[in-house]
Amino acid sequence: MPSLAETQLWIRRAVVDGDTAGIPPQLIGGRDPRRRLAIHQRHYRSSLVAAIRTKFPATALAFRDAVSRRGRARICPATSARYPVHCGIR
Amino acid sequence: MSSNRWMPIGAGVGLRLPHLAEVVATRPLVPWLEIHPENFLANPHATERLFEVRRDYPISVHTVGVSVGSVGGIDYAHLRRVRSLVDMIDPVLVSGHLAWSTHDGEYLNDLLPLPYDEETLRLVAAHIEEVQDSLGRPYLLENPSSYLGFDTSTMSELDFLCELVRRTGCRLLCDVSNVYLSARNMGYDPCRYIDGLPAAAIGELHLGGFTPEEDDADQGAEILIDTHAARIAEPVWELYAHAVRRFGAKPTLIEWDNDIPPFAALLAEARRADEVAGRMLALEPRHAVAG
Repeated sequence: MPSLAETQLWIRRAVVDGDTAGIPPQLIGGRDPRRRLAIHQRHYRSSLVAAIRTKFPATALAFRDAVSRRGRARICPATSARYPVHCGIR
Repeated sequence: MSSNRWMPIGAGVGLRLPHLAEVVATRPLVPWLEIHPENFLANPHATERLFEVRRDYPISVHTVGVSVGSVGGIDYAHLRRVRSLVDMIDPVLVSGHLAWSTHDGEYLNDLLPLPYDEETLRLVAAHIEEVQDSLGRPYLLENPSSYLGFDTSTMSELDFLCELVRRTGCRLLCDVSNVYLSARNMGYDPCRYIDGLPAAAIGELHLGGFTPEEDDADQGAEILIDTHAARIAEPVWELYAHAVRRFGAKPTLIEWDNDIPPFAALLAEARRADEVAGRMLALEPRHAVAG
């Protein structure tokens, strides 16, 4: 059985880096629980975008140009996290 | 040190930054307000307005950055900042989540799931005691919204929460919407979950909206996402009625954090919560006579 430290390390890798290769088969939730990790990946990314927009407005302005609109649409889906943005970036 | 202020039983609403100026200017009729300290700690102007608000309303502080489940420990610098705000506004309640959200000093901006076993229990209990010692008051722990679990868990979430209450003396914030959503997503009975919580430990209830979407993990199935971006769903109102029957009158919060509507919409949801609670509490003696 993995330790809590190991469990949190592989969840962190999955959420932040999208690396789901090392996930042990201990997750439960639906027929393919690993796919539900995408919900947490999405929350992480949308909160990060919100944090950038709040704390770094110039970056947010740059975000609005035509080139980055496509990227933003990719990483900022309709469902956003409830986590406030102020702790998002250290 | 506990607060000297009194928490009304009626339904309050989450005070988010887009409504702050309106609340300061109009002093709407609402029994209490809840804030996320993280929204104010980085915003001195908002904190000044909060001091004005707290003169007229009891405040509940709901932390989202105190990661009691992180194996790397809690962020003491953040906890000190929360404590400084708590000391200044003297909230009636202080609460947070059963989750982890930091790893190796990095904020992951989400409330991530924990396996429920003795190792996690010891860690979370120790962190709750640190938080309570630092704040000088009981901490209310909120049940999570769940999409995933662990087959290595050796106890249920319910047993885990009950044991935390026993070991630390913390109290519980029962998010009724989270109970409904998690029960749907993970396949258990939400009423049995409510029935299993220690009623004496319940200090606050939460109600918030969720968003259904297709479950990528289960083709053709639906998963409920805890977005706080919609009105409270009808089945959650029914579960809230069940919770009020079980726990009695408790301070109840309306949460709406994304796609935030006009403040009046939150007040309307709060009125409905009061109506549901009033109806259930009025029914209770008749049940007792009949039963």
